[in-house]
Amino acid sequence: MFLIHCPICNEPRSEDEFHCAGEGHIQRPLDPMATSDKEWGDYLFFRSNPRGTYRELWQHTIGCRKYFYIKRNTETYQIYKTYKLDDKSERVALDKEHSNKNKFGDLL
Amino acid sequence: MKQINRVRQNRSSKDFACSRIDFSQPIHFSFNGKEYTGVLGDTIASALLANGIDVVGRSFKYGRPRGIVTAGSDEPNAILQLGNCEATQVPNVRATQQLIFEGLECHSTSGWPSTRFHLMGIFGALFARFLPPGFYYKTFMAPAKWWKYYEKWIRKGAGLGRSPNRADEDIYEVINQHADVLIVGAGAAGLSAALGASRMGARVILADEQNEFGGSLLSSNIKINDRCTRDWIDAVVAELINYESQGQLLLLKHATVNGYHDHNFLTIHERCTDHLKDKAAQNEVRQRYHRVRAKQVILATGALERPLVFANNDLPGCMLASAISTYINRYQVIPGNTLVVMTANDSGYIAAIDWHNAGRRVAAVVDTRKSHASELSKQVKALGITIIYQSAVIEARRKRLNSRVCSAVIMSMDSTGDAVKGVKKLFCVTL
Ligand SMILES: [Zn+2]
Repeated sequence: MFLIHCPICNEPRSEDEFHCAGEGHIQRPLDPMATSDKEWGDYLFFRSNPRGTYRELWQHTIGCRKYFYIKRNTETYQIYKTYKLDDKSERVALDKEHSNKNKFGDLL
Repeated sequence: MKQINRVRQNRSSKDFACSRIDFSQPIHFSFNGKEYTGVLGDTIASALLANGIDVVGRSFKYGRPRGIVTAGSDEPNAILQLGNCEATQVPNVRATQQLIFEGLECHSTSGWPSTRFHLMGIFGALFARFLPPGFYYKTFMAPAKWWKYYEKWIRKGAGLGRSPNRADEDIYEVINQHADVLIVGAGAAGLSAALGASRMGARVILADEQNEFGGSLLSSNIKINDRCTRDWIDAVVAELINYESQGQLLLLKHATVNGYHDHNFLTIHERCTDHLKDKAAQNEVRQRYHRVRAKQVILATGALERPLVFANNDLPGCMLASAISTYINRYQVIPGNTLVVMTANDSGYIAAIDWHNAGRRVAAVVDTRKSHASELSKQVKALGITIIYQSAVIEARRKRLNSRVCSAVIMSMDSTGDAVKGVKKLFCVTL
């Protein structure tokens, strides 16, 4: 069972206080009516499910009830960091990973 | 029944200064409906061996007789049903772990109608050549309309243990624990680690599945600083209890660490009263489940001995060498009269020395290695015990269907260990 540091409570708590809400940093299309069915389907259903580093949205359900992000390794279960929703640094890092992936394909 | 395999007390009692049993307190218990006597500190297994009981169970499919093999939680055969009444039935307790208490009742989990006379055992022996390996009782399901008649007999002839059909009245509890250091196993390494961590002021949990702290030291008659292991263990535990009284340390005996989960989350199953009585007293907790989050974990679990492979190595009387040392040194029980040791390393020699010092005969030590002159082998030779090098036991033999080992077939090996030549038979009772 994970030991998760809640960035709002600022305390390590046991996993059974939390609830995972799926992949993090998924952006809702700004104008849903203008998106194609494929784009809307991607947004609703498609997740990256990587082996390795993953950013997830979690809720401290029986604690402060706030949502926050966890950056963790799906292979080793190591938690690199937990951070609040307004923390932009990981968003930037993620965009960089995406653009590198587009450039180099699946090499990275 | 008399405890025929107990080392007599008057005999060189100083050699057994490390023994952990108390002869002044006899304890009566029953096994398969028969009364036996052990002493305080005995497990069911050591008490049964002391009483000369060979067969404690039956193999799952063919009903072959099975005896006690080990002296710890790795026991595959001596698996018993415990409980004095319906509500306290506990299936599949290892006889090698359960301490006896006054009035304990236990039964073999397999082996109906009785362990000594077994339906499937005779069946298995008579029809062995018609039963392919991996044969399953469902073979009997055809014709389907007959299944309902012989199902209950077959089910009774097979299976391990039964669950109680009345509600358990005892109290069980779950506790969340937090520790700086959790130490798994309280042998020499675990005790030392607990001492070191406690002296530094850390919050420590020390858990061990055995009934006493000391681990393999309890089975050994080696000396630590010229004193027996018991003195060392007692001194360390006394200091640890001092830390425990300050609330800094938690000592858990009879406590099996049964899971090591993510982020140093471990679970411990502590049996609080199982070793004392059939049913816990009013408001007393029988078993406790500890959910521990530790900053650091030390695994001091020690090692298990792996049994050697030869034909009929499941016959009662075939035991692990380490278990033999344990029964002799810790429980003062010698499980048999004449011993043949087969070994591939020096630890087998220790069992031979212990057996010899306990006053019974060692027929030979069979060593798979080439001739060598290690310290232990010199000691064994000095005691007049034959060592047969570069050889292996290839088969254990019995006299009757239900009897224990009566001899060992030994062959010498070629240099690669692939082939064997020559046959020699040795009489023995324990292997
Ligand atoms: Zn929180």
